[in-house]
Amino acid sequence: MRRTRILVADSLHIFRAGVKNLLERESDFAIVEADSLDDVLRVVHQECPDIALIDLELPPSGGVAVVQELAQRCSTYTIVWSFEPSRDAVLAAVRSGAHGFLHKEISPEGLVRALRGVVQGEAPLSRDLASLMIEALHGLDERTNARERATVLSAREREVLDLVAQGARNKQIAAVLTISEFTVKRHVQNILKKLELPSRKAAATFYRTAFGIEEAPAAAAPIA
Amino acid sequence: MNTTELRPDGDRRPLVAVLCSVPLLAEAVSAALEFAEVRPFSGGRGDTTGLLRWLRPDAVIVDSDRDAQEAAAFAQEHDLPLLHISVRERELRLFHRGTWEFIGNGEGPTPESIRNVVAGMLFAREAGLP
Repeated sequence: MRRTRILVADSLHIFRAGVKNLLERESDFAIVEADSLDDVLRVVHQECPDIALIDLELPPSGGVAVVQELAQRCSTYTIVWSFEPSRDAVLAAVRSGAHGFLHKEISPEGLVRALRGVVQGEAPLSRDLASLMIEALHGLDERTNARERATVLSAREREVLDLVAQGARNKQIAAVLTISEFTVKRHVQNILKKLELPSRKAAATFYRTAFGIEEAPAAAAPIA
Repeated sequence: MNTTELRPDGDRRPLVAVLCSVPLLAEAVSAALEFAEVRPFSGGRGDTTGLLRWLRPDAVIVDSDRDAQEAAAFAQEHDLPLLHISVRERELRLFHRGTWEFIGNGEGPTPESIRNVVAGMLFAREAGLP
């Protein structure tokens, strides 16, 4: 029987040792290890693995970069895993070509089951990570829609809105753009009309959603 | 009476309690400590002291701050080696004589470093060394 060749790519020796010790007890797996992207490339140069378990933080550039490199060289099923991943991390891994995403806190039985599932064509993704990914996809849709709506604005209106989103007052915006306060007010009115938004605050929120900008902390001084 | 005397199967190997919230770590530790009887438990569940009082291990290994804190009091009281493997911080710490010491040369916790520290501490304890 041909054994499923599994690459465990993790910079933490003890973690690789744990996975290796577990999977070597199973007769259907053969394990190879790597502790960095260079090491992964060395392994795949010899023979492409069937499945690669890749740490999200694998040096030097992270697991997502490794997934992309592997996709160019092999038809390996790639699974990224990490502790407490963010929804954006899960989405980035899947968008880069990963076939699944797992928690590193997975039980030994769960890992064996997930790997056997991959061989059967399943995509390993725990329930909470699936929810995270759906949330991330919704966020992405929202951002795309907002960006499309923002195309109705002129370049100057975009500049004004950018400053509004940073918390600047009309007087400050006028100073930054070297225009009159009256012109700023007119731009803001046009922005609200074009985007069909009720207030300056709503416009700022819209802009932050469209361009993924964090809200300025309340204590921070608005733009100088 | 020590733990080995309590065990009905006559196993004279030292008993090491491993409390891991990352179960794959327990796999690595079990393989590294081939000279010991390793009992893995889910970590971070609370009442670490109660578990250790019941088990009476010869050494303790934990992987969470919470278990490390709870186990430290028990380890000090019973003069037990206690190791804290922090995978997120990539550190290995030994609780010895009431203080935590960092182990290793920056390569993070490895099966070899864990084996060496546990074996060394158990030997020292058995031999009555300080």
